[in-house]
Formats: sequence, C-alpha cells, structure tokens
Amino acid sequence: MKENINDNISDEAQINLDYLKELLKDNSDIIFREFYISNWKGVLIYIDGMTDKILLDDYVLETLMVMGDKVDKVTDIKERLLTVTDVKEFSSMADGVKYALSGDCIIFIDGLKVCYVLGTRTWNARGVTEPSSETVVRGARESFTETIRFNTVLVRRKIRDTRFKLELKSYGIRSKTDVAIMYIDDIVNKEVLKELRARLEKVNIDAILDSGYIEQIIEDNKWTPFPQIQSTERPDVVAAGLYEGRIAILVDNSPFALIVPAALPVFFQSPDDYYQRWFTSSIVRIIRFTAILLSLLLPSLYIAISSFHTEIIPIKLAYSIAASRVGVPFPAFVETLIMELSLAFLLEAVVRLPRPIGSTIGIVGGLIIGQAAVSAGIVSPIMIIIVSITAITNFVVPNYEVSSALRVIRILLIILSSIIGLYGIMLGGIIVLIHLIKLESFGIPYLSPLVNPDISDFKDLFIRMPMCFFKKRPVYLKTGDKIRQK
Amino acid sequence: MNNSGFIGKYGFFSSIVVAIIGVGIFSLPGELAKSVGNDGWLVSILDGLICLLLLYIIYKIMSKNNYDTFYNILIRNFGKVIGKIVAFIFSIYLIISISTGMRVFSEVLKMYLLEKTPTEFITLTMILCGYYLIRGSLTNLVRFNEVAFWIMFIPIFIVLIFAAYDADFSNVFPILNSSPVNYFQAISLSSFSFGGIGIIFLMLPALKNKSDYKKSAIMAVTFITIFYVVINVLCIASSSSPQVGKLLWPTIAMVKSISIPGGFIEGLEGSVMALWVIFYFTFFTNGLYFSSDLIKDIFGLEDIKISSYLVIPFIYLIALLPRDIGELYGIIEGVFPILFFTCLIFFPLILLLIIKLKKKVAATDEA
Repeated sequence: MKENINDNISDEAQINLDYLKELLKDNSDIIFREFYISNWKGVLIYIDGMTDKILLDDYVLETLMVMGDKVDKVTDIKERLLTVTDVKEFSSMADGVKYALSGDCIIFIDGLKVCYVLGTRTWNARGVTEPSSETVVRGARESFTETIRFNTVLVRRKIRDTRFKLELKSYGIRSKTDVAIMYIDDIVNKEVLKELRARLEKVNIDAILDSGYIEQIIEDNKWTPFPQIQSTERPDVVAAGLYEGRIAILVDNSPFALIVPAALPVFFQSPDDYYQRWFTSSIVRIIRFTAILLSLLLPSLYIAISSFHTEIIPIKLAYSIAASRVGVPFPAFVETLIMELSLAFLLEAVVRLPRPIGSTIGIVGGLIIGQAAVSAGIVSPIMIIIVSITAITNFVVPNYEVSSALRVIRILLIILSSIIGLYGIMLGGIIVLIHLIKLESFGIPYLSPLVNPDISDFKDLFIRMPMCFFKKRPVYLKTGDKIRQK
Repeated sequence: MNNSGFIGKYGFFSSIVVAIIGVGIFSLPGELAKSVGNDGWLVSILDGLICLLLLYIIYKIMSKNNYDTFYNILIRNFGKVIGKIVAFIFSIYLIISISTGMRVFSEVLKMYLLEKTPTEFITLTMILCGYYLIRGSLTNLVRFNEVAFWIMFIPIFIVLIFAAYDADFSNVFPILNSSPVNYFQAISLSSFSFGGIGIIFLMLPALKNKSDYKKSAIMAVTFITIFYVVINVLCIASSSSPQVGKLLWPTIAMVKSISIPGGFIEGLEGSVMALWVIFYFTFFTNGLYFSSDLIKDIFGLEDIKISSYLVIPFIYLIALLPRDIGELYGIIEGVFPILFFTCLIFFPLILLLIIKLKKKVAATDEA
C-alpha cells in the first residue's frame, strides 16, 4: 500500500524534473516550470487551483529570474533571494512530493541536494458560519470549517498562553491527512496524553476522510451505543475543554473537532450554560435531566402500568386510559412499538430531505398521520401524547449521539417492561447502569463525577453554581494545574 | 504486602451500607415486635453497637496482617487445611444469606408487584443481572455501590417522610417493657439484618488510605443503625406493636398505609417495591462477589467468572428449596443466627487470639 518514491534528490534539476514528470504523469493539473537563476537551472512544480499564483509570479519567479546575478553561491539563494516568508527545506523527495500534492510549491535548483517548499496553499474555503447542530441562545456563533489551519486559528484566538501546544502529524497512508493535537502543557493530564499518542500511533488506514474515522479507531469500546469522545463544531467548546485539561484533535477536511477524555456529564452540558447567569442555567439543567428521565421511562412506564400494575394509578386515570383504549386492536406493547418505529422513520426522513420539504414532512407526519391513526383506531390518543412527549424530550439532550443511544435504551426498557412490568424496568435500568459503570474514556470512568466522587465536582453536574464557586478545575480529570481562580 | 488500593472514602462507606441493607428491612420490625414489643428500635441500637465492636475486631485482624486479603489471612493464621475449611464455611454462610434473601425478595415481589410470574423466573433474571456486574472487577462493584447508594436512599427518605406524616408516635411508648432474655433473643433474630458486615473483609484490603477506615466504617454503621431505628419506629408508630408482630412484612404494610393528600400515586407499595429491587440487588451482588472470590481462592481457580459459575447453581437451588414462606423463615430464624455467630463473631475472635499468641511467641523467641 505504501508509495514507491525514490528518496534521493539529485543535484541536477533536470534529473529531478524527469523523475517527477514520470511519477506524476497523467495529471493535467500539475504545472512544471523550468527557469534559470543566472546560470543555475531551476524547476518549479505546483498544482493549478491549489496554489497562490500571484505569490509565485510576483515574488518567486520575478525575483529569482531577474535578480539571479545578485548571489554568488547557489546556497545563498534561500536566504538572500527567495522573498517568501514560509520556506521549508527537505532532503527527502517523498516529503517534498507530499507538500507539492498539498498545494505548496517545490523548487529544485542545480547544485542543491535539497528541495525548497514554499507555503503557497490557497483554495476556495467555506466561510465561518453558524454551527448547524450546536446552536446557543447566548454566545459566539462561529463554527469550524474544513481547512485545518483556519480551525486552529479559531482556537488560538481564545488561548494566548505560551503553554498552549499544537502538534501536527499526517495520518492515512494515501490521504496523508493533517491531524493536529492541541493541549495546554501545564494543565493537561499527562497520562491521557501518553495514551492518546499511543493510540494514534496505531492508526494504519489508507484514508482519513473525517474526524469520525479517527474517533472510531481510537475509542475505548466500540460495542456500546454511548460515545466516549466528544465531537463539537464550536471553537469555544474546544477552548473550554483545553482549559479543563482535556486534549483536542482537529482533522483536516472535517469541521468537527474531537475532545478527549469525555465523561457522561459533558454530553449533557451546552455552551450557553456558562454564558448565562447561574440561575437560568441551573433551571435549564434540571429541566434537561428531567426530560432525559421522562424520555427514557415514559413509554415503558405506560406499558407496565396499563398492563401489569393498574393499582398504582388513581382509579379515575385508570378508567380514562381504559376508555381511550377501547377499540384499539393491539396491546399496549405493540402500540408503543408501532409509534416508536414511525417516529424513527420520520426523524431519519427529515434529516435527509432538502430543507423546505423537510419541515413540511414534520407537520404532515406529526399531526396528520398521528390524528389519522387515532381515527382509524390503530393507536389510542394517549399513546400519541406519550410518543410526542418522548420525542420532544429526547432532543433536549444537546448531543446527537447520546440521544441516539438513549433511543436504543428506551426500546430495551419497552421490551423489558412488556415482559415483566415495573421489575423489568428496574432490571433494565440496572443493566444500563452496570454497562455505563464499566465504560471508561482514556482512563477516566465514564460516570465521573458520580463515581469516585469529590464534592466540588457537583457544582457543575445537576445545576450550575455561580462562577465564584468555580475555583478548582474538575477533579475527576486529574489535571496538572488544579486552580482556576482564587 | 498489599499497598495497592483504589476505594475512596465514599466508596467504602456506600459499599458497606448497601451491602448490609437488603431484604432484612421487610421482616425486621415484625421479628423484633414479637420478642420485645415496642423496643425494636433499642435492639437496633444494640445491634449497631455490636457491629462497632466487630469493626474494631476486624480492623485489628487486618492491620496486624498488613491488610492482606481475607483468604491469605486465614491461610496464614489457621494453616492451609483449616484455613480452607474456615473460608469454605464463610462462603457457605454468604451463599445461604443471599439465597434466602433471594427467596424473600421473590416472595415479596410476587405478592405485591407481579402475582402471576413464576419464582424461578424472578430468581433467574436477578442472578443473570448480578452475574453481569460480577464479571467486572472489584472496581466496578464499588462504583456500582457508589451510584446505587443515591438511587436507593433519596427516594426512600422521601417515602419515609410521607410515612411520618400519618404516624402516631405515642404508639412507641412505653419502652423497656420486656425481660433481658428477650433482648438477647431479639439480637440473635435480627442478625439477618446485619449479616452483611463481613463485606468489610473484602473491601478493607482495597481501601486507598487505610487511615480513612475508622471514619468511613463508623459512619456507615451509624447510618445503617439510624435507618433501621427509623424504620422500626415508623412501623410501630403506624400500627402498634402487637399488630406489627402479627404481620409478616410490616414495612410494606406501613408503606401501603401511606396516603399522600392530593397525590398522583395511589398504591405506593408498587412503586416502592421497584425501588427495593436495588436494595436487594446490591446486597446480592456484594455477597456473590465475596463468596465467588473465596471459592476462587479455595479451589485455585483462575478467574472469578469461573468460580461464580460454581456458586450460581447453588444459589438457585437454595432459593427454590423452601416450599413456602413458613419454611423459608424457619430456615432464616433457625440456621442463620448460628452461622452469623460462627462466622462473624467466633472466627474473628479466634483469629485475633491466634494473632496475639503469634505475637507473644515471636516476642519470646526474640527475647
């Protein structure tokens, strides 16, 4: 799978030119320019469309060709004649070719056994827009784009500390995708950093197309519906994660950054929890947790109570549920499954459809089909209410992967409750709890800070205490520098 | 010899509490009311004091043996053969206590929650869930205890507050009305509720800071004692002690009698029963882990997953052995106090004696 590139650079530019013309043949967008710098022959190679031609014309070729006689030795060209700021020198042909294929331009000159790589990358990039999935009420509205350099700048603007580190490496044998690791040196948990580097070493795939590829290769446990790495489109979430001692991974061509390690509380937090006042944020957090409990338990509780334990609810409610279920041919369990299935179909269709049709389908599916189903006697009205509350509360979770995981658990609880009622729901809850307890993310238990608790970590879990209580960084992340403010 | 540890203060505290409080709370007020009338809560306090004494004995045993695992301490002090026999008796004690607890749990569940479900099914599902947790290491067990503590006790205290609303506390008086013999009888009967204290033998070697032991363990025993006292008092306050003595499971009757004015839930015992699933589950898994661990060491098996395969069929069999509740409580009241005194009072005292004798012999050798 590895490419076969002759690594030597000859000191005759013509030989290098012939070799590269052979290596990169059948590519009509690669430009080879031969020129003379006083008496030395030079060769310039770049890809049309990915390179800044104005820089090459005005600042490289013009100076080299016109002012060539100002230098005596060929080795002085780089320091006295090449009027470009970003110049790298490589003695390996493979490195040079890689940069050429990334949009930089390489120069071979007679008499030099190295190639010069000029930083001339430029292409049409999408501008910085609002994030599509993590909208906030108050806070910045920037999101990452597909170019890694612009993304690192968005994060750098929020961290101007000399201890901020940015390490760039390529992964993917054919794609040679740039992947950047960012962390703050004296805050980060060094164990997690070591573990991350070890796992990235093992990446041995031909192409990395998106950060999702990296996430799936380095995660702890692939056999779980819960994500163990946080992915985000927002630079302020990345910066906040770095300040907590976590490590961010940016992948070229992907607007989603990865943050490790990630524990469950992270998936229930939204950035504007911290930008609004503590009172509003605490109420929103409590609503979020109640919504999650409701979304998990409501359908299964309905099945358990209406099928097994009717004595739990007041008699009037029991009668009204029974009355609304008159004429419905299916038992509560089948009703629930029908509604869950139709909800899943609806949601998937709405995501894939183009925008104007998508919102129409929402109204059509939700109101009309639901109402028609009730009139046709397939489901009972109370089932429609339960499914709508479930659907709404399911998406109160700010993270899409976690809400998908919650859907899976909801179906598990529905099945268990239809077999053994309330006992089944409890056992299902216990099984899910055991599963979550066994999960770890880069050495940090997934249910931190509920597990190995430290009292100060509860300032940010179910409510958000005022800023003056945020004196320590999260204890469960075992950071280097533990104090945030005095 | 063993200075690795990962259990923190809260993990230790919560593990002890949830491993001890199991299905004993259902029948405890009734048993005590039969023997000592209104003074069940006094007996609970006495039980707590005995447990504090046991804590001290266990601490002495473990610290003198450098906080080694329980099995290694038995082998070192009793010799290989007798050590294995003692460990075997200890694991039999644990297995019987969790199996009889399993049967009590299924009977309670059948009576109040799921009338038509067969006992075998309830037992099997509970065992499978417990096995899923046991497959992990001790770390996962302690983590589960930490989370389960909150899930168990916050709702139960809310329910108890509602119970206190309707209760008539004058039913608790007069106190100190029975003869001292009755008190001793009551203490031996209530040993079922404190039986899980042996879990400290499992947890103490894995404690991170051994100096945390005193505070955490004393807080745990105090918490359990207060909990049992509150349950006793509330049961007697809701329905006076002769009535409590006649009921099989007075705690559930007390919950049944709670009526929340303007409340949504009518039959509270159905929902509280679901909560009690976790009470029993933690008792079950902690006992299962400890007994599987001992069996693994006794027979030299590699992994706790294999030894739990050996233990689980016996739990199933013993849980289904009694024909009905009468036989079940006959076993509990007859066999259990003997096992409790043997394993948790007799053996530790002998261990302590042997350790003291060893020290003396070592001292005279050196001199």
